[in-house]
Amino acid sequence: MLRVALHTLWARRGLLVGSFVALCLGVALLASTGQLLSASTSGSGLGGIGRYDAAAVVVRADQEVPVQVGDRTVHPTAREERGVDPEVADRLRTTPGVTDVVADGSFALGLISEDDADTPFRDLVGAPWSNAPLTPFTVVEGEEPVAPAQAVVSRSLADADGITVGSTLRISAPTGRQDVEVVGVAEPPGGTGIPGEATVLLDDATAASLVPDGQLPVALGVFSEEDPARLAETIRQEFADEGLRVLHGPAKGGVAQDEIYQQGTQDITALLAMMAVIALFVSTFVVAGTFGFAVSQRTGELSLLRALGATARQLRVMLVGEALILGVLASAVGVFLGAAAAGQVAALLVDAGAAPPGFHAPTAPGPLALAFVLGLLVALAGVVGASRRGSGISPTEPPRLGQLDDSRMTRGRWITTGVCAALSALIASTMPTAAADGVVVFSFLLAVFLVLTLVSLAPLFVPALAAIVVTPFASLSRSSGFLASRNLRTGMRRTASTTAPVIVTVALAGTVFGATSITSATTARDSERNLAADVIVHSTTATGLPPEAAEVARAAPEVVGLASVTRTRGWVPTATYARATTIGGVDPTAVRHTYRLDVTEGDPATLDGESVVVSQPVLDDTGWEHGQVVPVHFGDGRVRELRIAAVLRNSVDLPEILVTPELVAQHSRDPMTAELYLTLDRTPADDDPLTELNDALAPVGAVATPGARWLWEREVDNAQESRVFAFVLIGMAVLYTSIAIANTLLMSAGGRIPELALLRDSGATRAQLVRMMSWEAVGVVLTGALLGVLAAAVSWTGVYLALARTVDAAHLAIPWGDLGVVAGACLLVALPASLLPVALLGRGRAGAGP
Amino acid sequence: MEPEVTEDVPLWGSRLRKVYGKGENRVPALRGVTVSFPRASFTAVMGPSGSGKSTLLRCLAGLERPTEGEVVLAGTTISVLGEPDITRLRRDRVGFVFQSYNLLPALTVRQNVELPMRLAGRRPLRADVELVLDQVGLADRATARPAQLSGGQQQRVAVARALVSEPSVLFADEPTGALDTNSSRDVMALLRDAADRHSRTVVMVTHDPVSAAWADRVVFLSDGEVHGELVAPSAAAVAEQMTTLGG
Repeated sequence: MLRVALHTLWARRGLLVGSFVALCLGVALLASTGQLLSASTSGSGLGGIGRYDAAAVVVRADQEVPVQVGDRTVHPTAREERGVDPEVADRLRTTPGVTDVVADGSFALGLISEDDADTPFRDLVGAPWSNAPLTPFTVVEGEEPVAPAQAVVSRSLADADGITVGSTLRISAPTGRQDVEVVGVAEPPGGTGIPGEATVLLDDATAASLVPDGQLPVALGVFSEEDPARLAETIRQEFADEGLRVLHGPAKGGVAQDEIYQQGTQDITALLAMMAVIALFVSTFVVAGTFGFAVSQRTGELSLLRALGATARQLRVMLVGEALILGVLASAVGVFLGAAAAGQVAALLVDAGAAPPGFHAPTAPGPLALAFVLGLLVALAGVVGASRRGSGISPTEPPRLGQLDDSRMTRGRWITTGVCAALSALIASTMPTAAADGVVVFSFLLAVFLVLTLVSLAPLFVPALAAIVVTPFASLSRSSGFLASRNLRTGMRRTASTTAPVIVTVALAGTVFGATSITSATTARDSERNLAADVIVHSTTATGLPPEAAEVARAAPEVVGLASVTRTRGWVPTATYARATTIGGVDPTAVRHTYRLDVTEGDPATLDGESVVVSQPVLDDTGWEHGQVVPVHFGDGRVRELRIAAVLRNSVDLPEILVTPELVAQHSRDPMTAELYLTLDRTPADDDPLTELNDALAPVGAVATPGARWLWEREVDNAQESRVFAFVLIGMAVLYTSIAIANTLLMSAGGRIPELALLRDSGATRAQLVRMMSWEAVGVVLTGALLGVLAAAVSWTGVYLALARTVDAAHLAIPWGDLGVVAGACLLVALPASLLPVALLGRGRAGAGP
Repeated sequence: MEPEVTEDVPLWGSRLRKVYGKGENRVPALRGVTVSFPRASFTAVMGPSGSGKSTLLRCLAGLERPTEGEVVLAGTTISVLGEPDITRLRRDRVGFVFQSYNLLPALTVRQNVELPMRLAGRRPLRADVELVLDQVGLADRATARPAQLSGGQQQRVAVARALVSEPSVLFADEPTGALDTNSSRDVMALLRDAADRHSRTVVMVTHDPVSAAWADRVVFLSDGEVHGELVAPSAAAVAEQMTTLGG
């Protein structure tokens, strides 16, 4: 039967172009996503120079931290990198074979510059000159930094920012501002710097002064003449069970390098993955539509095969075989394209500075095989319905069946409808209790199942609905509108299957745009209600604000109040899991002037080193109560027993858990303040340049903005970012809609030509035919858009209700403009595709009419 | 007059009734037809439109189940068989020729002829296929597609396809309905040959007296019942009989 399948497949190859392209593209996306993900998790693509290349062995602290949850202990990865005890360095120096031990004294710093030039580096790293042998950096120009306030920069930083020997660097670091003189330029062997990292090597005294006291080094580089593997084994035995990781060879680059890499690729792979999901989802529809249509067109052929002695099973095998051949071919091409594309994307990431130079995505057989298999499964899923219908054809079916457009609700459709409706209800019912960050995912899933429900129910009501929708428009014309309405109603399969992709696209667009716009509008409104500060000060460098920023602001004559927030991350134990949380350091009295805190219990002003202010969502999850002493797990793995001094209804812009700034500093690697909140002796207008204040702040790498404008600018930034993301996703969906619509219309074009010819012979003008077909396209797109919005509306409600749980000002911001653009794009595709048969009819054809 | 089921009577229908529809919409198509077809005979079934001749053919071929009555095909009572068994019996023992050729457009002439054997899971022997294509005079068109052939040639391919699995019964439903006189004669000669030289039992529904005259016997149907038969018919005699039936 496969032989027959191969022949019939080839004979109908024109019809299968759409399915092939859709499936191929979906598999390609999936394959490249998989390959990039696998490269990013294995770190196999990481090339180039590492910070510890010269050290034989690197010793780090174990990054798994214990969190007691109920009666068991879980081990999440530290959210603030843990350092190594200096005592370990002393003991290592006496270990046989070790010639030297260098503690990594690096820290994050900011460079204050006059112009806002973008630097290609993700991380600006400061380190003492004594760290130079780790890589090793050697001075290639100028001299070594030995006197106070001297620095050497990596060649890569010097080239990128135009830094030369003799220039002054204005450094912003955790302990304060410092000007240093560049005395030299250094390079590691075989390169101009550490990929993705801009290195500033300072004289040891200056470097030490910029790091808070008690900050532990993240790593120890161990130098030795011995074989690194053997030395590592020796160290492991000596330091067994002391919570250390002893690394050698490629693993030395360790967490820091891997993190740079993963950060850079995470966003793009998440985007690719979502695109792949959409692609495969829509591919299933396209394949199902194509095979469904093919079976209805081939009723005569299938019944003949039955008469010639084919069993129902054989027909099923044949149809499934056809889909399988299509699936194998499309998936194979897709995997090939995807593997090649992954290399291109990797190169793109390097160009954009999101991945270190030398990063590439090597062929990963596992993900590629998975993509291939998923492609096959999609093809098979698409053919299930068609094969069941096809094999049910009896041998006595009229041998030459015309274009009998019969697409009643089959049992399979009812089952699909039932299952999808049930799943939608289930998801909808769990949404109000879902965590806030899970809501978008839930609403996306909900929309997917609602769309499936609507699409599987389509033959039942879509043709009639489309006919009704087109009626008011049709009244603009005399005959063409009436004909279009009748065609939509009677061409049930055609109407249902061209509407389906429009439903999918508009629903996905509505959900993605809607969830982001509702969330951000709500956040903006909420911040506006809760932010009492007149002015916000934020950093102009890659890191936070140095301590001087607060001093400068406080000294300004118009400033009457100031509060700062330092941020870190940690966990709180619930009954079943370690719940990730945000922790902030605030001055309890100052913060009341800049934030309208919604206190439900206790008094935030009583916050001290032994207590904590917690927002209600945390209490909901942990079961904690006001006045109780609770364990707060900081990101570095250490636990503090703190008493709950006050409870806030919601955290608004602040972290969920508030402690004193001193406490945050003890547990954070980067204790720099993200923002300062100021109250002035007057209320500045939105466009107030705050000249005096800004002139004072510029030398410390800070800028002041009126509160309302700052919120608005941040909102625009956020919205811009999520809109770019959303538009790429939706662009993908629209592309697939085009394939699906064009595919359906192309398939039915042949069948429509005789009908159009008949109309032409009966006196219809060419213009009338064009109008009739245009009205049909309008009807289909409007109906699809209507149903898509319906599905999206349910998900909007879900997001809205979830937000309303913690926020008073939940705002239902519907992105009608964006949805209009998407629906317009669908119409742009549907119109020319609908007019194709009229064009094919030929201009020369002589109609009887005028 | 119920003959023993022997190899000499490969096809026999007994008291066949067929009713379409339900309740008020009941339309009786066959009202008790008993008919048998001896081995190596060529029988034409004739009657006016709506007389039930096509229904009779489909019931005899196992394509449709009669409401009442029995069909014995190649020594097997098919009324008691399940659908898969009937399908198997059909592809092993029965050949079909339809009015509208019904060749698969995607397959070549040879592939179309091989199709029933492939469906039966047997490997078609090249020699067998060549032989039967030679019989219908199309040995040189084996690699052509149906669309490249004339109507008469296509029908000859259909005959070849029906004969290749060496069926005991060959059914033909209006095989010359869409053909010109010359092509009709070629196809009739092939059916005649199948009965005479290969001892097939040929059953043909037609409304063309000239085609019917090629048969050994004509069975006339009217309103779902047998209205006489004509042995060794001539075209003129057949036409006369049809006139009395109102066809």
